[in-house]
Amino acid sequence: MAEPRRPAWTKDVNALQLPGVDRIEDLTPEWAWESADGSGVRVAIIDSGIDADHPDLGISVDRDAAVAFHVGADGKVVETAGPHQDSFGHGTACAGIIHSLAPGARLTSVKVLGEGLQGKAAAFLAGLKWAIDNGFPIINLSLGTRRRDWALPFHEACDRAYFGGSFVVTAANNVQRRSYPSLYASVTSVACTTDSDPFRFQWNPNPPTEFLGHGIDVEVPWLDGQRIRTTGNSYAAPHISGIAALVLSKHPDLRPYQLKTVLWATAANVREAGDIEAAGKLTRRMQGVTRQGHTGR
Amino acid sequence: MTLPHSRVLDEIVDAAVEVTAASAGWVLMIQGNELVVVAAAGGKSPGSRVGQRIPVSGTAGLVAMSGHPAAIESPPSDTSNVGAGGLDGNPAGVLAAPCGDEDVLGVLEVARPEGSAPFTFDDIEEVTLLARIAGAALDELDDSGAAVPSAPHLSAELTELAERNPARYAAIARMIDAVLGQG
Repeated sequence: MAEPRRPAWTKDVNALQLPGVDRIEDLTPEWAWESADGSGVRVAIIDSGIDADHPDLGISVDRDAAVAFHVGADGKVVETAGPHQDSFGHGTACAGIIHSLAPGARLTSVKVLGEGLQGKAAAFLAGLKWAIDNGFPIINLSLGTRRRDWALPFHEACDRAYFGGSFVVTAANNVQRRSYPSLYASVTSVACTTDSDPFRFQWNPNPPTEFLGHGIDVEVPWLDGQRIRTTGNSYAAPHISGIAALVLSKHPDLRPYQLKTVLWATAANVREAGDIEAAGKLTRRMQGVTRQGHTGR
Repeated sequence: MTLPHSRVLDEIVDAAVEVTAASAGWVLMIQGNELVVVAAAGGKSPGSRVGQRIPVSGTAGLVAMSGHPAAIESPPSDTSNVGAGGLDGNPAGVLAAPCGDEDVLGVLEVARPEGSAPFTFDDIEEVTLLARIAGAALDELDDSGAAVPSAPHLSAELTELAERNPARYAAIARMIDAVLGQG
């Protein structure tokens, strides 16, 4: 008997449901990351390098997996595998934030800053592609480029990450200026909240920035084994990466859009419904839908 | 290569120092793989700091590389900003923002001494917006090295500043727009 014809791109799939989640309200912080420590999750930190010996990082850094990219004199991107130093402290700071939230996560340094001022976007893109090709489930980008001629290559790379299962977390520009790839729907763009609790983040109803994390007056590890205090969206993004690592540690099969939904549901202003008018409206609407039993749509 | 010069850059540094209550500030221009001080205010003999060449390191280097502004409050043992902007010694805190739109052409940086209040997120936003005007100036160097933003470019940047602080910038933006409209 002939198989029934199906529309293009379709195939039969089994109904899937997240375990323990019957209603949207069941997506709580307890469900999402309680008792998780990030174990089993690899995080790529595309930045200025990581000081793997910094005491704040413990043994979280997979130093042998480190890789660096820079643009050579001939204009071509050069890849160098193996351990390296942090040129500015910025990558170590991001690693320290993620480690403080998800101490079991394995961190890999993808160094794209620090080897000359020319060709930064090309090295940056090469580092992002490397992380995607190597299947990192979480990729932290606390940097960006404003050059329009790089917009399409970054868009293509981030779409590939999204479909391939890599959750890309980017820092938004500190003022409302374009910065690629933080403008894309396939990434999760983060800015600062005034809250100082590292686990307390907010959903932003006005994209492209979708979440607000702790990024003001943050104590972070820095060069030469030291700590400094610093401020900026650069430090808000790794807070979301760290929490995402916890969630994936407990629920490793989540796709990027599901992970983003879990973050939305567990954001402080959505849970508390009312801090931001739009969040409250959406939460109430979702509650109405779930009460009618339409959880599958 | 002739260093750029302009009262616009001087005024931008003065404004950045004033708005953040910093003790000193400077504009660094990227030349090859170095940063060069092209305008300075505050500190000891700011005029003598102009022309100093600084390696791409510290907070200014990070901002030149990353294109993202940064505010660093460091303990005395952190030496990453020693000599920033040609200053003697080690500032207690620095705030730097990139100059330029498509490409980072330079960095606007301010420093605060020990005992003063740390930089705030509002300070970052203010300096970032001022750095945009510095970028407009650096983007339009003429043959003599004068760094003067074009009127449309300046108007666009001031309009954005006015959205954040109307009392300070809105009237200036409107005046420039009026001048452009008459042209």
